[in-house]
Amino acid sequence: MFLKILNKDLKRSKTMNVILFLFIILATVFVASGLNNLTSVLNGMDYFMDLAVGEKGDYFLGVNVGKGDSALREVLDNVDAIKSYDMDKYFGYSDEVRDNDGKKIDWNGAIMIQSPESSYIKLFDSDNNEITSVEKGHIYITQKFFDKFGVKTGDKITLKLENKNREYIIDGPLKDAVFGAQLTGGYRFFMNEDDANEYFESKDAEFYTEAFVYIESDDIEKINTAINDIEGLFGGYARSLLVLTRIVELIVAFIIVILSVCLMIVSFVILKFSIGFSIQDDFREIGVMKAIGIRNLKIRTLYLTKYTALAAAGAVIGLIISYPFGKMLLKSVSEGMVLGNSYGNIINIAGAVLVFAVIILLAFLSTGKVKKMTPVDAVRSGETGERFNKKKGIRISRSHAGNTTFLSWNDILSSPRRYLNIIISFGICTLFLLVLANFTTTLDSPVFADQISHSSDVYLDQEDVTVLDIQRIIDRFPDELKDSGIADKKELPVSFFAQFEHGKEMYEMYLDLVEEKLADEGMTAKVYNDMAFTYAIRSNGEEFVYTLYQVVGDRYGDYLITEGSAPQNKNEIAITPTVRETLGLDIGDTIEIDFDGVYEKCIVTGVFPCMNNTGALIRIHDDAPTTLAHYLGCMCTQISFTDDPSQKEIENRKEKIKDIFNTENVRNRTEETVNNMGTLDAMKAAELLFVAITVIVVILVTIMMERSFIAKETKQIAILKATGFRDGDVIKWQVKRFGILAVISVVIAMALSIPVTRLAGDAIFSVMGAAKINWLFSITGMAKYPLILIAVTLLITWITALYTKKINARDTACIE
Amino acid sequence: MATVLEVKDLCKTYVTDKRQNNVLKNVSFKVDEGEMVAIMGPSASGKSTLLYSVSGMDKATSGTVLFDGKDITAMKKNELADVRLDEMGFIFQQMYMMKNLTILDNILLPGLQSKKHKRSRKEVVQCGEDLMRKLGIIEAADNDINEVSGGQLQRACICRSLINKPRLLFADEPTGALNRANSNEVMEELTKINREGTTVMMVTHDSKVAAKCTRVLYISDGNIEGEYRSDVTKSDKERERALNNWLMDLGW
Ligand SMILES: Nc1ncnc2c1ncn2[C@@H]1O[C@H](COP(=O)(O)OP(=O)(O)OP(=O)(O)O)[C@@H](O)[C@H]1O
Ligand SMILES: [Mg+2]
Repeated sequence: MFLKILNKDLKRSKTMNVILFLFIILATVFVASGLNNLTSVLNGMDYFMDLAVGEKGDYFLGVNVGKGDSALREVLDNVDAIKSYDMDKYFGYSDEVRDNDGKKIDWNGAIMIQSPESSYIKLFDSDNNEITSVEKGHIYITQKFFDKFGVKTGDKITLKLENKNREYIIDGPLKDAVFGAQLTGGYRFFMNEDDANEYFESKDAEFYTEAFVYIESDDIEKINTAINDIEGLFGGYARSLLVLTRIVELIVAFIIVILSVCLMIVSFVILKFSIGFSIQDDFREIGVMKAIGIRNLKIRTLYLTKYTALAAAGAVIGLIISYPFGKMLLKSVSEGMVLGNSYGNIINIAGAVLVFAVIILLAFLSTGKVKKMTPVDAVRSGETGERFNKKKGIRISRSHAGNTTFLSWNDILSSPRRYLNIIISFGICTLFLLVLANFTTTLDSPVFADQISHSSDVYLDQEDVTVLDIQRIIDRFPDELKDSGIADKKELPVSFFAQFEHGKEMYEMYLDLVEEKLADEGMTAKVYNDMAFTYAIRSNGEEFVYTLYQVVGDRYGDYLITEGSAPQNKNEIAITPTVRETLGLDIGDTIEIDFDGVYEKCIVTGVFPCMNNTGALIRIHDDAPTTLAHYLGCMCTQISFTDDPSQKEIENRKEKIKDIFNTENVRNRTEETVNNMGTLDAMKAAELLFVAITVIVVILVTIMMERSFIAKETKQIAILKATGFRDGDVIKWQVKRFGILAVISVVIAMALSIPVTRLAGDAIFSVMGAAKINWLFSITGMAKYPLILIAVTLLITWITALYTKKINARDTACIE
Repeated sequence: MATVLEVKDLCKTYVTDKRQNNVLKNVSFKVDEGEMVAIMGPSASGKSTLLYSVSGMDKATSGTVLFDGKDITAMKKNELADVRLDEMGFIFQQMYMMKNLTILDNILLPGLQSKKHKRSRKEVVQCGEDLMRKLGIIEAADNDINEVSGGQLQRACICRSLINKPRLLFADEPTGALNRANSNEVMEELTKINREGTTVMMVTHDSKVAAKCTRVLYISDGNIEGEYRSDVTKSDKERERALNNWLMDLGW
């Protein structure tokens, strides 16, 4: 008999059952894929690193090996802390690169030429397949090279070897676990073995062949101290450091996590809504069953059977859809990474089971009302017996609103709990979009400039030095510069000066020349370069190779310091929060820096935020005795005007400087931040997708909820029509009701968005070593998405509500 | 006396599963201002269908329905809605109301929707309260719809149908769900309303109820089989007996 009742029920309240079923599918898709993506992102780098380098991924060394690696191997073989290791040799290309149109690409950083056959590391193509071979004359290049320099798959790219051009066809982007991060400057040029060998066999090979060592170890701190005597060592990186360089990409991935969590919350809210809603539908039936004497338990079993059947079917379908949906989400943000996890199906299945369990629980709790209900309640109460309490609505006699507006408000106020579900779902979707917008606004601003380097007004790159009086440098260092050919150079990067004993003085003189040139053109400015050096430091009795930052040239103003004070003389340093933690240093502590054999005691005077090198760096005073022999890298020629010009004037000067130095590479603070962080492009692409998903979710929720309201309110709509309400009035009532809900949600979400952005954003960025972020909240940024959502809600409700036209005034008379 | 409603050759056919069901077959009749007409007939004879067709809630298949001289069958949906709102009142067998509104607010709703009398909100509220007082349910004004008895609810429905002072009041078995006492009271009210000038057309199964009307149309198998004018000068009892005799002749 029960089966018969069940069968009839499925047919009778078809609309509600179909809607509930769709919600179950939706919830399963979101929860299953959300959990999977969550695991993937949180495990993200570890998974990728394990795929790429296997077990030998605890520590990494970069060493200049020239022709032979035997000396290096000898050292490595004798370090106890190294369990096993492997190494790749690559050719550190430093000549020009031309794109498809033969135009020179202004790259900086390192280009690493190698081939799959001779590489230990596994690199992956955009479909996450390992690249095991490259055709002759073809090449794969790290993804970020595509983003930064606009090359495309199928393009021709030209390198130069021994003054002869080599052309390659780009087969596509590659994903590199070690150097792929946006924050690092390394580009992998993966080519055919024969092609690569041309470089390794060239006469420059001795100079440019470098080794990258992958080490398996349980005790990386010991390695740190043991590797100091390796000749040509230019970098040692712990796995955690490489993982952290990915943070920029992970920001976007974290947004997926936030989105997934939001979608999960929305799913549970709408599930609760629709189960509650569809059980209310059955209250009269339940009352009738009670009246004829069927026991509570039996009634509950009956309904639980129904929901179990629906939940099981929905969860299976949802589970199937969750795979492609989750993949699509991840793929869009993981252009440079292989995101995934090794748990595979289990997580999705766990998600589906979770949804199933929640439905059964919700159904059980909702049917709990069956017990409390007397047969009289069900049969006698109002229309369908869903309300047992005194209503809390407003009175039309005392309101001044129009009829449809009144009805809308009255509905919401009469059963606020039902509408709360909608407010929560909409609110969460809006909140997510607002946080996203705030992230973009902030990332698209110079807020981070100070967290990357000592910031300036204008950043000058690849300047044409022929406009400067270079002869003055030659006159001062005639012996050293005799055969350097400096007079014929068009560009003078720091690396050029690094070869000379007095390179730093020459470079400082060069910066002075730039400053003079600007002054001649009416722009008084300080010109400097925030540079990174590597020096051995001794702290708490241990020795490390560490990155030190120093402003070379004319310093402008003080550094951004969050605690203590900036270094005032050459024996003072500032540290990042990361250093404070990893080296156990604090203000007042001292370390020793090995300035070419002279150990200088330096005292920590302050803490500053910096995201470069994920915060693993120390700032030393401008007067500290660095030399370019220890030069690691730098920003570019930085210009800070001393006459406090307006933003508009800075823009004017930027254009003027472009002309003076004959280069397009002049950037203001915002452009420089974006240039360094590289997040924005990825972020903007992802933003679009996230907005699309959120809008689709809002559309689905709106359609389903509105459709269930109509199903519920058929009788009431009919009575309105019978008493002479026009179709348009009925639709207005329905649309206004949703409009009010949407506006309420948006207002709440907007109020919450500022603290939530701070909370979530600070948590993410503090991992990167950044501190004291001044989050920017722009009106346009924050108004855009709420307006879109409200518009979409109104439009979709209107379209859905058109269905009420089909409801006839006659329908009042028919008993279901 | 002016004609309020004139029905000519009204046909209504339902098509279900390709089977045609000719519910109304060329029905013609007139209702004059101030009349109180009862429609009687066996179950499924098309009484409700007739009521809904002439009031524009349902589209007729053919024929014309002139309400106040205007052809309802040719009207657009919105015009029909306006006519229903301003000129017609409805009372149904099931007493449906907006469940989120109190009894009074349910009554006021069409009043505030209508622009016909250009009344202020206060005047509409006044009118609604007067009606409730008249029908003796004023104490239930602020009650929820599930906090009143069936009889009270039906009287509230009558109030709602009268809030815009309609010219024609339709009622489909208004007493069908009520007990004898409640039924009598409701009929009492309807007769009073009719005497005050509102034309009433109602469907009923109850000859006691029909006996109170000025005219009875007997419909069977989609046709009007007979028409009975009761003698207003006679007493209730006599009229009822006469009507019963007439119905018996028709095979009631
Ligand atoms: N919407 C509809 N679709 C199809 N057929 C219908 C529809 N509404 C009514 N009918 C049919 O029309 C016929 C007349 O129905 P109607 O409701 O007018 O009868 P009635 O005279 O009011 O009966 P009762 O006294 O039982 O209320 C019935 O046979 C019914 O099945
Ligand atoms: Mg009927």
